[in-house]
This record gives sequence, C-alpha cells and structure tokens, in this order.
Amino acid sequence: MKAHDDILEEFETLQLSDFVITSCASTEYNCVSWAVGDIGQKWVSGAVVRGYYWPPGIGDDDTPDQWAEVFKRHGYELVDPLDWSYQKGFEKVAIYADNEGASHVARQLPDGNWSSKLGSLSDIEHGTLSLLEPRYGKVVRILRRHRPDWA
Amino acid sequence: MPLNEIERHVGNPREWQPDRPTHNWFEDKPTVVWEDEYQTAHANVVVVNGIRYRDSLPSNVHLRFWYQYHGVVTIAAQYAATAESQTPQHDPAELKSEFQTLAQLWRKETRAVSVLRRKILHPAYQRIIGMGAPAVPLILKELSERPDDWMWALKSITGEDPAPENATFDEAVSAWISWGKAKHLVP
Repeated sequence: MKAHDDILEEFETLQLSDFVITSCASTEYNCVSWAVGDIGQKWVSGAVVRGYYWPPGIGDDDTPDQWAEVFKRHGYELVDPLDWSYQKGFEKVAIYADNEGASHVARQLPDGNWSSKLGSLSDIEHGTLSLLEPRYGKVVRILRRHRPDWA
Repeated sequence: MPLNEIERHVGNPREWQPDRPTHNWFEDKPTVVWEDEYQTAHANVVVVNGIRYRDSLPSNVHLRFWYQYHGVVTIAAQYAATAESQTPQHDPAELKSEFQTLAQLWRKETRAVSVLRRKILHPAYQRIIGMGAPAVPLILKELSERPDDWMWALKSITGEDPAPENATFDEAVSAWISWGKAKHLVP
C-alpha cells in the first residue's frame, strides 16, 4: 500500500477509489515520456547534463505551447476550445500548467479514462482530468490525433 | 563587479531564504546584458574552457545555480571548488547525516514533480550542491541505490559529465557510477 499512500499524500483530494496504479514507481521516465510512448528516455527540457532527451528545435522553457509542440510532432493537433471528452477514433493528451509553466501531461486511453505518470511515482489510470488539477494546476491544452484502430 | 552592483540586479543572495517559493527565486534574475557586462568588465578573472571569468563572486549556492541554470556549468563548478576551499572541513558522519536528511526531504517533496528544473531548484537539492566535493561519494552511493536526478548535482560539483552523448537516463546513471568507481569514490 505504500505506493497508494504516497499518491494519496501527494494528491490530497484524491480518494482511493479514484485511481488504479498500473506500474511500479520509477525515476527512469516521466509524464512526457509516458504520454509520448517512449519510456526508454526521460523527456525533460533544459538539461545541461546528459541522460535526458528533449526534441531538438523545441524551446526549453516548459511553456504549455512548447510541450504542445512535442505532441504536434507526434501527429497531434490542438483541440480548441478545450474538449477532453472521449471522441471515438481519436487519442487525446491533456497538458496541465500552473504559474510556473507546464507541469504535467496525461494521455487518454481507448476506454476514455486517462493515464498519468506522476513524477517519480507510479503510473495511474484516472477517470477525469480534474482529479489531478489541485496538484498540477489547470488543464490548459488538449491535443488529439486520429487513431483509426480506436474507432 | 562589486557585490552591491550584483545586489542591485538580484537582491542580496545571502538573504534569499531557503524556503522561498522556487517560482519567485529568479523573478529578478540578471539579464543577459548584465552577464555580458559582468564577464568582460573585470580584470580579476579565471579562465575556464578558454573563457575568462571573474573568480571572486560570493560562493552563494543560489547565485552559482543561476549560472548553472543558464548553462554555464563550468562556472558553477569553479565556484563550487572555490567554496570548498573556503569551507571548514565537515565531520564525515555529520556530513552523511545532513546529506541523508536533505536527500530524503528532496525525494519526498519532489516525488510528484515531472519537470527537472523544478526538482533541481528545490532548496534541499541546492544545499547538497553547496556541500561541494565531499558530497560526491554520498551522491554516487545514493544514485547507485536509488537512481534519480542526481546527475545535475554531480556535474555542477565536479564539472564533469562522463555519460556518452545521447545517453538515456539509465546509461547516464551507469556512466556516473563507473566514473565514481574509477576514481575510487564508491566501492
């Protein structure tokens, strides 16, 4: 239960019934790696030491637009106005931001639930995006890409 | 640049509180122009990688970090070395205990954080960097037991980066452990 306790401690408004843990805790990848689908690398911007990856040509200030650019390179397009509802045939990602910039990204699953890698904690599945908002700020960008196999 | 001139731009670094919210730390950071002026306006300099820098900035962790944050890691290392030579020797047991307390605090308070710069800006992490070279064996041991984002601190203190270009996180961790073994800093 330690993994659950760590998450509940960190996300005070989260209840045990709000999420399912789907991985062990890991420091080897982060939420961007997870959402992009590349857990072999830790996707962080602005690192001046080796061991991290950030796509060349994308700014490293951790703005929501810079994070959105990462996903555009993976075939996503912005959904404006924000619409995080499940749309058949589309995979979505949601970028959170607070007053320091982009803070987290979650990706939608084929069943409409969301999957998040929580910092160095576990991956979880959660039903709504708002469950993580008290900790990560607000959802400020939604992007989607066509997934014919999800139709 | 005299300290009062530095303070005109960044406030008095000695008065920056460790618990000051990280998003406020650099709201008054020096400008690029300021840095250029700073690097060129003083005769009392050190040469690092062919670039001349003044060597007498106050050895304040936050100020050193500001340089590191902007990619001037060698400068951070230079100041770390300076700070180390000026710092009284610590009792090894005391140092280990302090390190463990800070590392545990850092792990706990940044465990849900995904953005690297927020993690390394944590005051506990900065204090560990401020311990300088004596902390390196402790960081390497921690890295081998609980791999985490310690490479930034190691590079900041040592000025080295033994990981190959394009290394993954795991590969970088392994490279640092091997580096530590080669230097007899870890068993």
